[in-house]
Amino acid sequence: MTAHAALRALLQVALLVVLPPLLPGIVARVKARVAGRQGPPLLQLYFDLARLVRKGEVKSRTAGPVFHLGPVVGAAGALAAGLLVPGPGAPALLSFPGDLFLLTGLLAAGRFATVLAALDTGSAFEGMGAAREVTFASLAEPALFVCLLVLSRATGELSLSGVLGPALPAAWAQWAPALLLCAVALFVLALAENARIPVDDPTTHLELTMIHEVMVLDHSGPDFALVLYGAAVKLYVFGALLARLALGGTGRGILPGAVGLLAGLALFAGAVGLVESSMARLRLVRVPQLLVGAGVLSLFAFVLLVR
Amino acid sequence: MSLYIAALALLTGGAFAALGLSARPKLAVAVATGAAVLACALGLAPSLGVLASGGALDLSLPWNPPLAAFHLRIDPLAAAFLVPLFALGIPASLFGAWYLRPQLGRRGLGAFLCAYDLFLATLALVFAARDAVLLLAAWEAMAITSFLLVSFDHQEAEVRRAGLVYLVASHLGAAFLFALFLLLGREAGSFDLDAIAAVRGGAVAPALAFALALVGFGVKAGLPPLHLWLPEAHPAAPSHVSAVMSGVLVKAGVYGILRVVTLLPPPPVAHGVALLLLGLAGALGGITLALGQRDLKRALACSTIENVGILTAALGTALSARALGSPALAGLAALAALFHVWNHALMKGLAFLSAGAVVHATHTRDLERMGGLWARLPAVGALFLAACAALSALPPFNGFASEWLIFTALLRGAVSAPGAAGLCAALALTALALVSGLAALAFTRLAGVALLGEPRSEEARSAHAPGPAAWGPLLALALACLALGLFPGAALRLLAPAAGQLLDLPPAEVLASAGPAVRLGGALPRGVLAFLALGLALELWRRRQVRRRGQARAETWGCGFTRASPRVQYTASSFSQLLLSTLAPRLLQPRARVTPPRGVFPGPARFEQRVQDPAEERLFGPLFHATARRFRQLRGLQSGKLNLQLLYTLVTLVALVVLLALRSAP
Repeated sequence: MTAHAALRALLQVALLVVLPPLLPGIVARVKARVAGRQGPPLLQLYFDLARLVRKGEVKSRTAGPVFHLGPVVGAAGALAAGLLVPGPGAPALLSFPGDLFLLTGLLAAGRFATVLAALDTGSAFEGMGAAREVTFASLAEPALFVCLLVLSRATGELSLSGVLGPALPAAWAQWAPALLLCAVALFVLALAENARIPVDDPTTHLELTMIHEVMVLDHSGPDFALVLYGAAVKLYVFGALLARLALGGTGRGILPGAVGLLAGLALFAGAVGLVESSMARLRLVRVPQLLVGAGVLSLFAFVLLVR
Repeated sequence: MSLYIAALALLTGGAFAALGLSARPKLAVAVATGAAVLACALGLAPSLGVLASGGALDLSLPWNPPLAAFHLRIDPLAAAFLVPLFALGIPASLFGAWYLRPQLGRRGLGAFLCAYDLFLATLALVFAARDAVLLLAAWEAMAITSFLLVSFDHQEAEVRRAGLVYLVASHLGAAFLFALFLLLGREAGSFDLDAIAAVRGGAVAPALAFALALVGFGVKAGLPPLHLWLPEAHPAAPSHVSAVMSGVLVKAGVYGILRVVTLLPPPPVAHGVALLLLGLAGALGGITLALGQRDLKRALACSTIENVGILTAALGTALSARALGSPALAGLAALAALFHVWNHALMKGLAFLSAGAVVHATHTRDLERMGGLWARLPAVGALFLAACAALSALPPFNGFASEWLIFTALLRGAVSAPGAAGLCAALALTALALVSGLAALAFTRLAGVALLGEPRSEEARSAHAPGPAAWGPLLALALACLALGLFPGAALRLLAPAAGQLLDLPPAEVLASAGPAVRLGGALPRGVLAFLALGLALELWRRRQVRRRGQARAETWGCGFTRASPRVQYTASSFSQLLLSTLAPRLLQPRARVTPPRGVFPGPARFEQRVQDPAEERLFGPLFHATARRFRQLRGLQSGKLNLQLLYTLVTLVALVVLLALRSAP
């Protein structure tokens, strides 16, 4: 490995580890500005994490070791998934044909553990959130597969780095309508997978209406820090994929690539904030329709490619 | 080959020794288990040897029955199915010895042990038989011995019913197989499979032969709509028998279909597509049925339908891809399917055995009466959780490895195939993604409701942890699941000759089609290992942090509700309710009868729910009832008088003679 490649790998890891908590900060700032408020500092999540890490934890008497599995596996799955996401102007640290299925598998493992951790508390509300989370995820997963399939078909590549790499500009030139549909579907799925409005409201205070938040009600201290951090990394993973897709591969060298990626991530977080400012949460029964809609949209994009 | 014969002899000897020792049950269990374990270990060696070398072992012995020959051959395809049988046989038999301890004084235990050892022997014979008559004889013996095993608890009406359903289904399926092999044997002039393969089925229409095999073997494989016996028989049987049935017996059906495919000319696309569609229907239907079950073992049985569906879909992909002229894709899909056969045997074996330990401790199979078992049986709980994670196809377990291969095969098809074929691959991929999402729902439900939270009944509260005699064999299975998940390359290298035999491809080419990512040290294992390492590091950090900052225990946050009780926990039925009531097709929705509380001071309320299987309610139920009604009309003929019966016999004979005379006259 040359010094250059080592430096690039280091930069990718650093971005993956350090950057994610910034995204929720941007979302919150955008929402506050649209509502005419000052809003919390951009780095609020970093402060929160530092505070939580220094705290002890309060654990339910019902819960056992599985309770800790949720935060740990959730964060580890999201970070490992982050290794598969192409970095600034370069392929991912780990890239092979079919790596998109490893990405979804890792995210699914995190979800599996989070759901079990919620059920371990024996709380009715957490059980409800857990049931909703897996039910909606079972619909989001096929849609996500079709999205990635469209990208693969349009570029003829089988790995995420290949799909979102040098082959992308040519694919945009040839298949713009299909890729646009796919990007829209992917954005909807990013909102759903990351428990944002219109699927789930991260700021709600009513346990009955929550999905993701209610599952982690009983976590505190380092556990809760891991939950928040894992969620931020997951948002980063989806944001980075979408940024690469929308910006057509984000440049060649490290520097233009990094600038492109940061700009794309900021745009993504801004878009999430705007959606959250302008929409209400959908009724629970409408959520499956939204997810199936995203799936149908991307399937339609696939048909456009096959035609 | 001598090792394999020794294994068969040992199993038969153990079976009859156990029968003879019925009066001393402890010794009988020890002898039968010892024979089974030793035989499985002996049998594993030649099977792995065949796969490693890619050759075949052949043996012909003189045998008296007409038309038959005792011709055995272990070729790679047979060995690919013998390996899971012998590998699962060892832990299942050891677990069985522990599981049967409370039954030691029971009548019929000797017969049960005898049937168990014979069951393993006949299964081994089915995979190795190279003569159609021998194959059918072993097939029927396997059906009968497994029927005896299923009916072990025959005092319960439910078990008797399950046994009956299983026996009837087996025999109806076997009728199609007799027809199939009579047709093929007549063309070849011999019932030797070599002779049949040499003429490639002769004048028998391939579609007819394929359809007969699909029905006859599909009954055992649990392909829809012939899966009815599975959710009945698996919960009724003792758990170690369920494990072998679900892990291996069901695969015997898949093996049969594959064996017939190798006898016939290369199948056209339509056959592959038929398998693909059947597989997808089974996968989607099976997992949806699993979502509604309250019975732990019944839910696992439904998941067997799902997994057989997944691997059948992969086989269908392989056959279609071969017919469409892309051997690399076909090789990858076939390899993935055979790998899934192994993985499912291990993970479903683990799931059934650990479920057996749970049922043993709580004396109930009802999920709603479990809960909080992790705290009481930590070892068994952890193993059951591992099985659930593997069955949900999550890294780092083996279920993920084979599902990754199947997905990759379909992805390649969807990206490279032109037009309709590409669209089909994309739709199949979408359906399988939905299946894996639903599997996550089904298995978080099983693990979460059974193991976690507060106990939901007195039985669960007072459950006692079993000793290492129970969970030791399971630990071995769990480690095997983990090993195959982390290092799939080794298993794929062994399976390549079998996939190659199926598709007439050289094994090296099949292995190359899987790509470098799955090899030892390839990118896929590295990604999974990175995930494990990250998880371990975060867990260590978390523990250190908690040690330094302290931990307080308190009640679960009740959201303002102050009188928490185990009864407010989310139940198994409510966990899957959102999906079943809003998204599942009407046919698969459970029937619920709700009497809501009424009035200002709510009185009693009722909620009843029953899962219905459309294949039973819409297809076989009406069919069998209609048949029974027709036959009832014939009852008038049967008066019970001997002279009348003799008259019928005479008339029939005369009619047959007249018929023969008329046909041979001109």
